Amino acid sequence: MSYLLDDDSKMLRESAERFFAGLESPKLLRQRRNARDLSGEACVAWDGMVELGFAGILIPEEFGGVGLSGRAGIQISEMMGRTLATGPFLSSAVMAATALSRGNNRLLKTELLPAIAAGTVVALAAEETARHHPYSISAAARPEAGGFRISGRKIAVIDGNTAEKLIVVARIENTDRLIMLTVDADAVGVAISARMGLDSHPQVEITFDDVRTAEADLICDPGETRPLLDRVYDAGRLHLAAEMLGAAQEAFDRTIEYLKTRVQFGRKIGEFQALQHRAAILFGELEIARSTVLKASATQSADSISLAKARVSEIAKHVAGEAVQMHGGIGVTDDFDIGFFLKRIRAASELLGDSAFHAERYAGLQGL
Amino acid sequence: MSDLNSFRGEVRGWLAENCPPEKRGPMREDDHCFGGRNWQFKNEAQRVWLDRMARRGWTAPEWPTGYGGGGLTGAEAAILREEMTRIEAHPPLTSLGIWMLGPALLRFGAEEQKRKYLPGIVRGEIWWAQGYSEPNAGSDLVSLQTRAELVGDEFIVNGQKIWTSYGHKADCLFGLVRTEPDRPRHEGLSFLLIDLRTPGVAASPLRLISGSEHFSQIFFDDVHVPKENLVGTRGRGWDVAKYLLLFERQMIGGMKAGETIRLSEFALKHLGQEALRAEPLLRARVAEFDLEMAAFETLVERYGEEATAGVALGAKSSMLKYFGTELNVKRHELMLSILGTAGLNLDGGDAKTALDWLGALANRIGGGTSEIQLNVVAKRVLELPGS
Ligand SMILES: Cc1cc2nc3c(=O)[nH]c(=O)nc-3n(C[C@H](O)[C@H](O)[C@H](O)COP(=O)(O)OP(=O)(O)OC[C@H]3O[C@@H](n4cnc5c(N)ncnc54)[C@H](O)[C@@H]3O)c2cc1C
Repeated sequence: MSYLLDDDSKMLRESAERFFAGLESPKLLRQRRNARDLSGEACVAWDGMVELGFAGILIPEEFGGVGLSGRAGIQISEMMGRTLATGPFLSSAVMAATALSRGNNRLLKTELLPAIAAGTVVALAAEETARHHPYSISAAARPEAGGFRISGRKIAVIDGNTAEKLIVVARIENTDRLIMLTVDADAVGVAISARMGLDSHPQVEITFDDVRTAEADLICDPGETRPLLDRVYDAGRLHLAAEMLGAAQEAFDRTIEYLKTRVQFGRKIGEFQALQHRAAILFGELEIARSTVLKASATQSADSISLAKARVSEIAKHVAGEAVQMHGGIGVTDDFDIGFFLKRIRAASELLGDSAFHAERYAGLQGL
Repeated sequence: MSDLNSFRGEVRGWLAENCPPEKRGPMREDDHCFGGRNWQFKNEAQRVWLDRMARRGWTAPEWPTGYGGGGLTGAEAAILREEMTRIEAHPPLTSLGIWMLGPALLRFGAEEQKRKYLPGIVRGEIWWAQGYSEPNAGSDLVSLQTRAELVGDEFIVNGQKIWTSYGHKADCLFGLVRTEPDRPRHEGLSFLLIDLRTPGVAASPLRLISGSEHFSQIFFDDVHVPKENLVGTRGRGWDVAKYLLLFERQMIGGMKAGETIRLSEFALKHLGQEALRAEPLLRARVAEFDLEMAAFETLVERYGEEATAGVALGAKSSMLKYFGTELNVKRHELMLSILGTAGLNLDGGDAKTALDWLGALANRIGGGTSEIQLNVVAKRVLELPGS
């Protein structure tokens, strides 16, 4: 494995950098939040991302995607973090695409993967607990002829408010068996509600009331659901780590700029050693964070992904907190952008397992 | 690429045949070979291993073959390192000559100096020590006062060095002396090589809090040093020293003192899974530390790969020194917690942990303290204002 960016990564990084830099995302985020706009439309640069091929980045070419390795794709998430860009990349292009392409339902792949690559939003409705417990699923799948009836409640469904299709994880009634299957977002019995989130992203809750599904909607064999769910989550975790890395790097760079310009006591505040040392430590931590993300993207192993999600979450939170502090009053002013980085990092650190979850998972993998 | 693959195959085969079994596995104190005029090999394997590696120039893999080095490219040297790590081969030589003086000579030395010193360094014939620090010049190294006055063909050296690692055992010293007392501080220093057998040199050991006789103080009383022993330009010694400090920081940061197994493994070995789970807070600290350490190791790996690919690390090496040594202290503190009172017995088998902990504290100071590393990053990497 290598830490150096391969050609695909470099190319993607450049095009993502160019594209997201032009979006003024913080401004749009602020507007959307102020208007309590939960449509998900206002600041979605999704069309542009689709045009650049980002929506199909992980989808094999035979299904209409770009077919890049999981390694290069993180460049997009990192740049989204840097600019606070939003759009159903993580949900649809990363997690749903992973679920479908790693599953074994060929018909579903043929139907949905090209659609995702063309911009259709598919979201994963799996989580039920506010803290991340991947297998603690009580949504029930009641078998009936030719399919299942699904009932249950899902929370924190990323982009669930704009999705056309949902990927639902449920438990076959009176068994331990999990299934993963697709459901139309507008199917009878599906109720979607959204509230404004801390990071100005919608917080989406979805209830399923005796929703009719067909066996043909199963993404994988029931026995494969857990490992597939792990893969899907791991893909999402890696991208969240990359996004946090980008956001933290940007918050840090802006802070260093501020240390070089803000004058107090007749000097640049960056001359104060108390701040210099803290800045130097943050720099080193960010270098470490970047290395863990590069390693996780190159190996795609469960332990390296948990390592990255755990460490980057902690480091990004540290960086964001320090960034606010070193800006003084303006750091806690809503008109100023730093707070948006802080909030997105906080949210991303909680999604798909926080640092405690991933430290525990990593420890388990080490036999501790 | 296929060239590198065949090189790897060749290295692997050669190591399998030539690295004695005694020179593989976890390093203990006694496994270090410092070399030098009076070196007593700890065993035959140590002698054989050094001899075989030195013949191939692989004690200094990237130095030109003309000076006894291995003449390997960065990528080949990386393969050699990887293959040695794979079989846990010990470094054949622990040498400041290889890590520091050699690179200084290659960059700043005269042709004659390279020919005179480099081959001996490769073969471990001279034990070199590093003489920078003085009682009143530690972090603020440029204020050092040891004088070297040119009289005829010789420098006459007077003054004192302190904290010199192995100065009381080494054969020769490379270091900084003040040759131009009237010039501004940075411009009055020169890089000089001093044979410690010269009359007027008196070196005595200083004990570390770990009990190890690691460093020393050295007094110079009218010591005559031939003027050919000056490396680089007179008055420009600071440039040489600064260049070398980068190597030192990288090295200290990347090395793992003491036990090299994961902390979780250490905890499982000493307490077992059940006892550890019965103490969730201790287990959590171990787990957190393992993560921090594993994350730091990805940085070491990345910087290593970048260096091999020709990206200069520069002042970022201070980050390796800072995190590497800080984590090492933390690790040993947790190891002591795991051992409990069993770790307090200085005569038992577990004594090593306490001593390594004390050694880890010293590593946070030697080679530039943690605070100085942060200053370097703030100034040189982040380019923050002020001095
Ligand atoms: C194990 C070991 C091996 C060594 N080996 C060698 C060797 O082989 N050759 C050699 O020449 N030297 C060697 N040294 C010396 C080492 O380089 C010095 O000890 C070190 O640079 C610190 O200098 P000092 O001891 O004078 O402490 P000081 O410089 O007096 O530092 C005291 C405290 O003040 C802090 N401080 C100082 N300046 C600043 C500043 N600007 N900003 C913030 N904080 C500051 C320091 O971080 C430290 O905490 C060794 C030291 C150790 C511990």
